[in-house]
Amino acid sequence: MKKLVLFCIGIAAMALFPGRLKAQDFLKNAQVTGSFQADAALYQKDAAMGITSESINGQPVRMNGFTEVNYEYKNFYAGMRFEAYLPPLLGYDPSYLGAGVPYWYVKYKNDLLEVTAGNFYEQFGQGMTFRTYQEWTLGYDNSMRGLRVKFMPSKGITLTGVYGFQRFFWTPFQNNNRGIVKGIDGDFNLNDMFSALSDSKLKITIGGSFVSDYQKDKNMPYVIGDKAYTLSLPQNVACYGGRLNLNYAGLNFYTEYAHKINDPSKMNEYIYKPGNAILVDLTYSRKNLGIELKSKWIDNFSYKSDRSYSLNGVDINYLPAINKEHTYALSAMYPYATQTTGEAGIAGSVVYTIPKNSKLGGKNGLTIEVDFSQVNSIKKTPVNDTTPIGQTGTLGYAANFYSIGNEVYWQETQVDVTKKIGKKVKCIFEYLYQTYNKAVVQGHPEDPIIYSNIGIADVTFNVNKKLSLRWELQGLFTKQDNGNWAEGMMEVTISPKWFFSLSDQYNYGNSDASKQLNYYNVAAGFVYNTTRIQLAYGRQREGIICVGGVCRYVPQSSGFTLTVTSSF
Amino acid sequence: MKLFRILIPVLLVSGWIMTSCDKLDPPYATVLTQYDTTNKPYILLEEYTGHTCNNCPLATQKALRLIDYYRTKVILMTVHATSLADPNPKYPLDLRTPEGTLWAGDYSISGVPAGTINRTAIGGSIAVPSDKWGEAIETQISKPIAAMVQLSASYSSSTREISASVSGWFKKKLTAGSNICLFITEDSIEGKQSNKDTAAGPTPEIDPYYFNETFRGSMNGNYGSLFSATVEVDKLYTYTKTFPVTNTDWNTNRLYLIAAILDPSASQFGEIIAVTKARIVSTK
Amino acid sequence: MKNTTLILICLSAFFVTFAQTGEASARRKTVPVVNLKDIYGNVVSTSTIDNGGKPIIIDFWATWCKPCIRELSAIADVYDDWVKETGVKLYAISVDDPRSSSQVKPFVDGKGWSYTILLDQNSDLKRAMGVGPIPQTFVLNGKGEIIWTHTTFAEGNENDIIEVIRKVVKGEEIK
Repeated sequence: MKKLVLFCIGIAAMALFPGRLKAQDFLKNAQVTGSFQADAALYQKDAAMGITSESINGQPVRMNGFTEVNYEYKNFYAGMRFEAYLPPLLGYDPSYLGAGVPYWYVKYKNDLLEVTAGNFYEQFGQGMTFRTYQEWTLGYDNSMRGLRVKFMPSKGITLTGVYGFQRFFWTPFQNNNRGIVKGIDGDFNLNDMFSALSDSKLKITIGGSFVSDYQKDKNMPYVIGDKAYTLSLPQNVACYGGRLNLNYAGLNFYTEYAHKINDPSKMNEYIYKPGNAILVDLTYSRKNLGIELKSKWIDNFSYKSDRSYSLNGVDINYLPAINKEHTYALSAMYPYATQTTGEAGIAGSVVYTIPKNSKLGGKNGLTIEVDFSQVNSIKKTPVNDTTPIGQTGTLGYAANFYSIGNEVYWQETQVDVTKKIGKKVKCIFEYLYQTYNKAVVQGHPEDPIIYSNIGIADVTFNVNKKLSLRWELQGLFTKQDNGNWAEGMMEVTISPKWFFSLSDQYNYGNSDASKQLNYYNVAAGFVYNTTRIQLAYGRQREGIICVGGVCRYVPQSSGFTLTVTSSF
Repeated sequence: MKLFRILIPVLLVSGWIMTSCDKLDPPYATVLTQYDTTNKPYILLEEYTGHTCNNCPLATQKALRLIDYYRTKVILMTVHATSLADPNPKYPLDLRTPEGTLWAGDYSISGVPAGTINRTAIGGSIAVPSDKWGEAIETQISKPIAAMVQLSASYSSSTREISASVSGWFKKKLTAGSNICLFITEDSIEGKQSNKDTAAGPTPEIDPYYFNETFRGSMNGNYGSLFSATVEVDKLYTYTKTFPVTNTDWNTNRLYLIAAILDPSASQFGEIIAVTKARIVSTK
Repeated sequence: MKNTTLILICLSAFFVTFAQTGEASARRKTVPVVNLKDIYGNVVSTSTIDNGGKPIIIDFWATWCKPCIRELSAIADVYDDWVKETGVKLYAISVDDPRSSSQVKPFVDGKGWSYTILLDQNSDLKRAMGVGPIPQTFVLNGKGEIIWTHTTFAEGNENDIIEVIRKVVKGEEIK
């Protein structure tokens, strides 16, 4: 730490006395990049929505913002990110309140070696054993602070070692208040490593990783019913995995398996069963056709560096949902999130473009995409006759590898057609049928399963080179939950600088007439090179937004929002 | 050769990381305690005494008989306070504590021997004379249990610190929250004691006299520290505290710790609703 | 916290000093060296981004990003003409994370795009280039220098991109 500070001072000194230290070159040939974002909101009361000044905690003005700067000179890199949440926008974890520099690093990199001190984001394989990342829109950041060494001893081999602790909002690391994470990973491209394989059409990549998390507590008290117990805790929880990628012409096969030893935590209600996870993915593609089939089986696989934390944060591994990520407002109404305690999922997708100038494709061609995904429970059986499934302080349950339970958590069928008509009109039509087990995904046991039909039309009309118009019409039809929804949107874009949009989501099918609300929104934006400013006014419905494996609850709100993004 | 130079550190680091793996064997959960009022202590008898108090040895005997009779339900702690505990040339030992002196004032302990039972008022007075202790304990025992407390404590001879870890849970909701008190006691402190009752020993003084269950000091203030700002039924609360031992008179091999949960809303200075005691285990 | 403050001071001091010299602009930015993956899972350094002295487009996108797909689709319609005219090459950098990264290749092939695809699964290059919301497009000249960049996509933006590339080919100065 001290060395690092001295190092920084050294650089600053070199910059201050350029003549003596020949830092001129150091500056002249250096490169600085960065980005900036501010999201501000002015919330207002809304009687129809039931928003009072209490529900916004008497703080109608809120802002999230960050500035990140990266510096690069030859083999040397450094950077930092300043963040401020004063106070955080509604729906972001209130623990973010405050400002500071949660992220900084210095890095040295050459062809053989890369050493990073400070914060870093890293991913082993597909992240089943280890992944640190940041999603600003979700307010999620589990970056590691410590040391990372990457080693590329010869072509086709990458070895990575990480050591440190994870970010937890603004809480400093002290007295081992969260885990110390260490991990190693090896990635081997056999075609590059062995000359005999270098010309082979079959490309083989293998990899393996081992991660361990140290937490100081050896035991903890726990109350079950009217008895208090001492639970023995593993101080070191290990998780390891292997992966294989085979590629032959248009065919690609990928599989990754990971295993975790006993890891009692709040997420699994302190059971001691080891965890397993496997991902199998097969794709085939050629020009105009892409097919993917994948399957994922997860059994007790939440892995956090604080076993007592059950909200978003301090995840060591990454288990994204298997289904397609949606961006249209109504198709994203019921987003599925991975059930880390156990799920069995499959997904398939076909993308086909009917070529231009064919009978079906017409002059401009036609793209059809069909997706299907289903996630079920896994089959859990009791460990013995007297222990109920999931009993704290026991193994919890037994599960056969790749067992599939009867309970459906999620199912989706989607058909999507993209068609260009003439030179000026582009249309996207989408139909979805979703089955959403709200009781399981959102943890509301009393809620029924939601079955919904969703239709979307998205039409763009290019009036001329500068002006384009876009319309969206969406409908969601369901007998459960809040009933039917309709959405309409119109967007006017004056290239390259201006855009305006007007939209409304109308919950006309709500069985409670007082909740048949219009969620209108008016927005205007301005873009200049890499700077974008958007001002919006309207209502935000209550919902969940998910990016990758993490979802965030967004409470309903009403008012103005201003977003400024820029990069340099 | 180059490969070896690379391989060796890689293998060493890998080996080091891979040993970080604690596979546990069942049983994973051991019963700590349960709401079983038959064999768990929940009453604290605080006996106020002094070495120049010639009625005190008999009262101490009575207290010992009571904790013997009620077995594990009652815990005894003796507090040396009032002028009869003051040292003088004949009785040089000083077992007084600032906390004890404060409590004697707060609970109106005007003379010794006297006692408090869970610091609860009996017939309008918190201070109970020794002949009423049995009756007062009976009254307390007939009350439903409000809370339970569990404790472990150790003393490190290298850092000269006592570390305590407490967990408590409640059968009664306390909207005003609760305090946790950690009292250090010492056994078998050798001294002299004034005595007038032959039933308790030689008169007019017992020499040597061994002071047991002697209150030495509080780890966390006069009336403990906040355990939890609000208390919910059936929820577990935990508390840890370390305390540096600076007084070299203390025999760290004979130290005990008493953990008591205080309901601060019950009266002016609060009532004790649960108590437990554990030996302070010496470690390096 | 103390340490962080110290580092913050050091770095700010450094950047301020740096800014005062004002000579950095003498040299244009290039693409930072970051390891990405190709669609076969091989590690590929950004130092291999090259088009034999001809201009390059770098476009950050993801399979879930509708404006990105609109942009890449719009370019796809005219890409063959662009290549013939200017010799330009487009690198489409997917920031799809492991949830959707396996879908990138079938998606791209299914759409019939003929771009060079690289995967930035953990947004390492995205961060290093200071990219915020996507899409963001960069145009590089024959020397690999970034001469133009733009964020977001509006129908018709593809015309701006080719205008810039035409200027590069003619050797005109870009503001």
